[in-house]
Amino acid sequence: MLQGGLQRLLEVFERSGPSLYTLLTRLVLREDIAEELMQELFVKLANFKGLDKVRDLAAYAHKTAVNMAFDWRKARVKGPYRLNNAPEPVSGSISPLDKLSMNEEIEDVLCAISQLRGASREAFVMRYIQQQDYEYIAGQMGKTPNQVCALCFKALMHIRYVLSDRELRYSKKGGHNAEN
Amino acid sequence: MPRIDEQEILRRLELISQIEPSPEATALAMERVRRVLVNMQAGKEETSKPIRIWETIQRTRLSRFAAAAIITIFILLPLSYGAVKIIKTYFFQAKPTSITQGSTTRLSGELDEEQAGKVYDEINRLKEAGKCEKTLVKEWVENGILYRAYSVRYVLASGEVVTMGECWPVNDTNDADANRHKDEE
Repeated sequence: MLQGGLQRLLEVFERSGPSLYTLLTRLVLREDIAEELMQELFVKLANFKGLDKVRDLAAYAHKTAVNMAFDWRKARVKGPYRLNNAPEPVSGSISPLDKLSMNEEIEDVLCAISQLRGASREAFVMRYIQQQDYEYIAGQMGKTPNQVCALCFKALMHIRYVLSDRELRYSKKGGHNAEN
Repeated sequence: MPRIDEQEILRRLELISQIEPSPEATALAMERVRRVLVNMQAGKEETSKPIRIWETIQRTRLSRFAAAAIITIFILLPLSYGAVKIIKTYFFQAKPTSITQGSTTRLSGELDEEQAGKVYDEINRLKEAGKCEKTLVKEWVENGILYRAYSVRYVLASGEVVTMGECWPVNDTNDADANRHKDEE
């Protein structure tokens, strides 16, 4: 990457770094993992040869961060590491964030979001996780607000379907176990 | 038919959107990444220029050929020329021959320009008059022409003896001269 690209990246980092870190924390529900992912994100961007061709670097960084966070979630589900295996906090007291990470409902929603693809997931995360308005999202994604609204609606329907399906399966399994 | 309520999903999403990392954690993460990026920038400043030039050269066949030609013309040829000159100068340096030999007067270094001119004129006169002693030193063929080198001894009017090395391509006159010289020997 050229020197100018790295300088641009530093500017984006100073401007959007805190919001990216917040987003990563919301998606992975752990500050230490968010920190690791944040470093990985910027190293990856710094080594990306086509970075000079990227017009909106902040939007590109945001999109990459979302992808990395959901990749981490998928790897965690597939791999041996589970949330239950997470190390205990050093202080012993449970922080509000840890309480949330224990919350199965939130985990379910994030797992359902991870099943979304491309622009649909990007728009949904910006709308419902970052609480951005449709105009802003449309500007970031190069779409019209109506298109973004439609994408978010479809994504919400998909998530509703996934969560309902999961709930149904759990209830059947629970009922089956109860009968036994 | 989905059983879960849309409002319930929105409620959960709102919970997620309210998660905020602590300011300390944010500051730590920012500092860590900033350090990494600054180090990367410093590293790239040192290495970016040569890599870019080399990558540009290697991009096309024509540029590679041009680079090879430039290296040959501007580096290898002068180097080889310089090397030849150095070898000639320091390893095959021609030994300086003094105009006079033996016990005769050393003309070089002791005569000024005017005196040397007079000696040269006298030698020329002696040469034209044939008042000299020629000794064949060496003969060789170069480009099909036979050359002979002589040691020529002149006796000046002052009694000083000057010996000079002279070389000619062999023609009839010289050949006859050489034959005469051989006969004398």
